Amino acid sequence: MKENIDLVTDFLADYAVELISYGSHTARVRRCLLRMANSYGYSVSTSFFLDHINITVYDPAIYLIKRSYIKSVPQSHVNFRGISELSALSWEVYEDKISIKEARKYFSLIKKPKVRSHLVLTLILSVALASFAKLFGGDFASLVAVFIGTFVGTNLRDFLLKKGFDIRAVFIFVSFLSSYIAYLGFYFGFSETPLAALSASTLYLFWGVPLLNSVYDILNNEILIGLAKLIRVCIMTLCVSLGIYFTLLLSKIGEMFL
Amino acid sequence: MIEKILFDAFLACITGIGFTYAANAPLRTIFYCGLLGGIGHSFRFTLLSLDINFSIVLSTLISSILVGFLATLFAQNKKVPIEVIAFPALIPMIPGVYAYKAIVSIFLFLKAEESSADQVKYLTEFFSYFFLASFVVIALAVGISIILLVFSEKAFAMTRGLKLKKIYEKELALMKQEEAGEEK
Repeated sequence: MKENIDLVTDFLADYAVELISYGSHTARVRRCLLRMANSYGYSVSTSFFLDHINITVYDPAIYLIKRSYIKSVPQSHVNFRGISELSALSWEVYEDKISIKEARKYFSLIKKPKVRSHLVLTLILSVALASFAKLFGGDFASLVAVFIGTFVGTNLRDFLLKKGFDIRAVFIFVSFLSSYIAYLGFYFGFSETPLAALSASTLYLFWGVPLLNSVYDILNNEILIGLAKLIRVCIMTLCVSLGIYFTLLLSKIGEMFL
Repeated sequence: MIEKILFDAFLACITGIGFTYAANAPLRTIFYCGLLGGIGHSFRFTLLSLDINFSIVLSTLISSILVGFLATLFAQNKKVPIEVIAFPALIPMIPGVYAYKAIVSIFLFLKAEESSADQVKYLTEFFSYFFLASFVVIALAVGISIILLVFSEKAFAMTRGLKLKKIYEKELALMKQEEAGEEK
């Protein structure tokens, strides 16, 4: 028996919003939606925008049977586990013909955040940034400065975002703080490689995944959403640059930093 | 030389692992992301060290394609989308130094006396670093996009066969118990 179109549309809209907010590129979302809609005997057409989607599910045999939803897409952290499992869910629907009820069950399990220690996460990221500083030719003191800057910065960023502050303001402030801590290693005379320390200090704020997604979207003819993503990445990169700029203003540096 | 390349790979590997963990990747992929991060960065380092006159942009593009290609093999094995392995592995190749130098140049440009020789010098440096950083980032993105486009059909079918029933065995059993309890 064919599933109810309201249930199918509701599920597909929730699914698409989740997959986009996890940081998937547009072609994957389109493909997974179509795969599942076809499995339930419908077809789907979707328009993607930066902060919302417009999804229409219709019966290809009787065009009058259709539903159209507009749903907003919240900003969230990149979640590759979520992308993998949601993509696998679309195959499960396609191959095992599972019902909407069953698919919803899996969906709620995938959505459930896995318990991960925030401290471990920030420590691992801080070590990663310190090794970035080493890649840029930094000495031991600059590695330590970058480690501390990243540790403080990531914790503060997550705290401020949780408190509901504007993401751009948070990025400017946190970028300033992390780069200033990295500069302090030089200021107190411990480090002789301020270039490496300052270059690496704010890289954890770089929106790498959205940037790669945006270029892929553009090359894959999803130009509108690709450009919108690219502009957002540029704005966030500008915010990070502003933070470093404030550090340079306060530190009264000269050509030696170039 | 080999020691330098291996050290470079080791550092990039740690960076790759860090960003993979931060991107909430499945734990079974973290090792491969780190490995590819190391391979990609050290391959670019080797290309730049060789006497073949490859620019950093071209070297980045080639390394990005290599990472994408290897990620396709690993992704098939681990049943995850290609980008889950490839994207974090590309992060160590971000041109942080050039981007930072562009910021310092514009800072010094704004500080320098108006229409002075220094101002022109800093402006030239700003554009030089800015374009270099931008093109390296574009090369990274285009390189991996080429692989995703070439293997597009394969890329969308990578997660086929990843059984959610197995992953969520315990949770599903618990749900079933709860449902049975409610029915009673």
